[in-house]
Amino acid sequence: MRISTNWMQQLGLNSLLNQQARLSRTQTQLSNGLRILTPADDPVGSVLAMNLERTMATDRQYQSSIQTVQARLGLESSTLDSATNLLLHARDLAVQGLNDTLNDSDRAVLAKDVWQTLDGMLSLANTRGPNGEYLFGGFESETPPYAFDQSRVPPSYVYQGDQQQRQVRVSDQRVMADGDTGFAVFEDISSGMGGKGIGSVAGKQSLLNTLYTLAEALDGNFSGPHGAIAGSRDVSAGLDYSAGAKSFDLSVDGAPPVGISIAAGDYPAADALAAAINAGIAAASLQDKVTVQVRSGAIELVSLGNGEDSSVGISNDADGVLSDLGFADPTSGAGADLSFHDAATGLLDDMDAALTRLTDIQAGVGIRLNALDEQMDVLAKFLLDNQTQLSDVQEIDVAEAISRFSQQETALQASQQAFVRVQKLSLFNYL
Amino acid sequence: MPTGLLGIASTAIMANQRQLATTGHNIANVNTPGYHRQTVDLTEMDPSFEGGQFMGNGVRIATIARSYDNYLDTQVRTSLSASKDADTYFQLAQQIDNVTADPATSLASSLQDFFDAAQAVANDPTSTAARQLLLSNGSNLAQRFATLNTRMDQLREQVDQSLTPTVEEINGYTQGIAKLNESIVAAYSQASGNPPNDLIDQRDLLVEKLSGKMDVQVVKDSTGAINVYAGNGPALVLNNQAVRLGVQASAYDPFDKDIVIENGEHPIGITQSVQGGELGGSHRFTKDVLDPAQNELGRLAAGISVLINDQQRTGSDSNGNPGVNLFSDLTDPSANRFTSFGKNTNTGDAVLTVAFDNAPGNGPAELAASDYHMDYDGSTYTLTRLGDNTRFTAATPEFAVDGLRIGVESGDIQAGDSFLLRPERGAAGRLSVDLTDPALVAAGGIPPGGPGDNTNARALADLQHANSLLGGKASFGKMYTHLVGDIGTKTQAADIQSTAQKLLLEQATSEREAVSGVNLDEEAANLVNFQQAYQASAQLISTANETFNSLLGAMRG
Repeated sequence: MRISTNWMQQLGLNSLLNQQARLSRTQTQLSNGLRILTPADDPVGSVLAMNLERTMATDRQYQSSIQTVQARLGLESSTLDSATNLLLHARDLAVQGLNDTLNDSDRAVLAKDVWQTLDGMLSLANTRGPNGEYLFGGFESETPPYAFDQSRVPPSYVYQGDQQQRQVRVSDQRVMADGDTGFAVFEDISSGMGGKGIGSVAGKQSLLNTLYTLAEALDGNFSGPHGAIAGSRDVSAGLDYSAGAKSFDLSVDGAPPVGISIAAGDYPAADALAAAINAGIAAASLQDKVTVQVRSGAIELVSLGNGEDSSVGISNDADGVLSDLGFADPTSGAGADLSFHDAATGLLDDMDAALTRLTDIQAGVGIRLNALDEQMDVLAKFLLDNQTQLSDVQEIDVAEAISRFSQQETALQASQQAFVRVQKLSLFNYL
Repeated sequence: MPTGLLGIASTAIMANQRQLATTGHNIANVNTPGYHRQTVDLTEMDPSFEGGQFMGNGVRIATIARSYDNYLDTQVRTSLSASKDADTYFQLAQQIDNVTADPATSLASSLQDFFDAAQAVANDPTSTAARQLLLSNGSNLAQRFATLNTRMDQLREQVDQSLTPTVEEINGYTQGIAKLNESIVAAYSQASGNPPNDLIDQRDLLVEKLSGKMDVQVVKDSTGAINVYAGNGPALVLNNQAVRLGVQASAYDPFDKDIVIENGEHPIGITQSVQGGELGGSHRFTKDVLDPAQNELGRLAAGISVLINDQQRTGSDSNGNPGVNLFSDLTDPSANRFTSFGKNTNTGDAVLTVAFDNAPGNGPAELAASDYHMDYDGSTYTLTRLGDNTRFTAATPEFAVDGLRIGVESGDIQAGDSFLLRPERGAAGRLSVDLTDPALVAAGGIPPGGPGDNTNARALADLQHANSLLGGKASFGKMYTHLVGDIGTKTQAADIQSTAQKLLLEQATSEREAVSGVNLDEEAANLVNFQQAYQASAQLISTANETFNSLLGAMRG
């Protein structure tokens, strides 16, 4: 076959250019360490690589979430340990106080120790996490969960957090609470003595108020609880009574029931609702005998007096107020007269219930920490597997690439030599 | 004309001289583009009948032919057209391919960063730094969208801007062909049918160059002129007349360009007839790669804007107020201006509005990443999804389909009016972060919890993995991977196609060169051969002379 001189030159040149392009590509692959330089090199491989990278980024995201939760749960766990120790110490003091050989001044010495313990417990309940948030406040993480409220009846410790606990996503399928609310840990504990400590009501006690009651009892300042009832519904979000006024019946300290009216209005929060009921109480001239206050989002009615003559009862759910607030119809609660011995014995039961609660919560924290450790291990393994697969997909086999490079280099050199030699061949040289 | 030996010798000298000259012509044109090797076809002179015998009278030149095979030249031309087509397409596709997966411009990492920040807010909702990071990563994400969108706009501009110079080149070629047609027809008649080889070479070269720009059909007529047609469509050259092509704004979007045959007031659109070559390749790239990619990108941007904003509004911010939009609100028609175009023949003056919707059953999951036409025939409004020609009809010009809300902003629509809607094309460029105050990140739920409430931030972070696009089949990340994979696949196919077409072109050129190209060794051999023949012919004259002299000498005795 004939070959035109011009075309022979062009073919030689094309071949040189192609070899150079291949060599330069291998060089780029080698210097980047990547087999796939753009998606067009291997669309399937690059989609796989992107998917792997996305999965790995998600796994790393979970790892960082887990670390956050681990730090918080770790802090909670050690805080609960300290709380348990403090409570055990207070319990010892209560047992010592029950010793009938002690006189009032001996008990006052014990009381000093209990007051210290109470301060310690308060600061544990108000522990702040690494990011400055209160551990036990629920969503209300920037308000100290516990404060002593002088204006309450009776003056007592009040829980200022809420009952919602933050959940953090730690895997595709799992969200996990990064702590426990003060409500669950310190507040919502069944009372062995039927809720007869300071601020206890409806069979529930608050650990801080239990210790507070113990200190007051040892100081000889506690003679019995106020008559009180508390609704079982959290009305933090308020109630809308704008359709019309509502009423219910209220009986205080054994007196006959009196109708209490709640003015029509949209009450956006529990405080506003309590104020409206207090206004109704004032209208019925009972404001010197009974008051309404908010307790962990629920409505609480407390007789201003204490002892066995004090009582509060509500009835008449015709307007649905009792159901709205979470009261049975009727509901009543009476105070009591308690000797030191009765009070301290009951408080021991309450402290045991609180200990059980602390232990339960601690166990829950431990279970979560274990689960997180396992999840961390799983994620680390996933990441390693995926990283290996990613390397297989997108990175070059260096040995193969280097041998390819030298092959291509040799081929280019051969082409260059052949090109030059062919160029020299011409019949005209011999004419 | 001398007869006998002297006559024969003079024909031989003439013929061999011409052979030598043609060899020289071949050598001179060894590097001339389009040159076909020429050969002198010799034949015997008619014999004379003398003394009962036919006596040879020497040699004559039948014709000077060019080594040409119509089949091979046509093959080179069609291969060139296909190769330029594939190569242009590949070069353009490569630019998108590079930009979508390059870590510096890819969306994948900034999408991940945005949702990592959302997760960090969910983990620590009271941290202002985490909220600030969410906003700045949101800005980066919007910036990436804008960068990719701008890159795609630039590619579109690059294609559009190359249109006018290419069309002018084509006009140059067709006019050249028409002029050469005229010269060639005249030359044929002047040379009583002998071909003007060099003019034909020049014309073939112009046709070949034209084929590189677009696919053409060539039909030769009996006078030696050729007629050139665009694909199977309209004529570009008829004998000595060439039409002029031009570029003008399309009927809908003035920034879209159509190729037309200039024809006074009524230019004839031929964009559809233009296939193959550089024009065909860039047109195919726009339709196959760029438009779908930019629509996909817009769909992703719209999905992110609509769904993240919706989640923001479902929550409450640090101040306990309901959340507000984080990204620019693409559900607002005023954020989507210049996405609908009335046809230039419309008699009504209506301006349409297009916005992304987030109604149940008509949200981002339903977005189809397509352009639309809306037509009114006097009684019914028809919305056509151009991606698959699905039609929707309504009695009023209002549609809520495919995750879009379409309506009329102002003016009337008259029967026969038509509109082009491009909701998704530029949507990626319309994304920005509207929120500046980190306190307004809606981490809390409704009703608002305390500052530690992360209910909504978690829902926001969960959107990363929710299959909220493609009818509930793809998450944002998968959608982008799909886009990159799609472009990668098309680019790879284009690479393979381009390489294959180059090989075919090389092969066709090889075959043509084997017939038509000049080989200098061959010419050198011919040179020796023809020189010897010439020398022998010259010897004939001297022999005839000597013979005559010896006869004269004998006479003198």
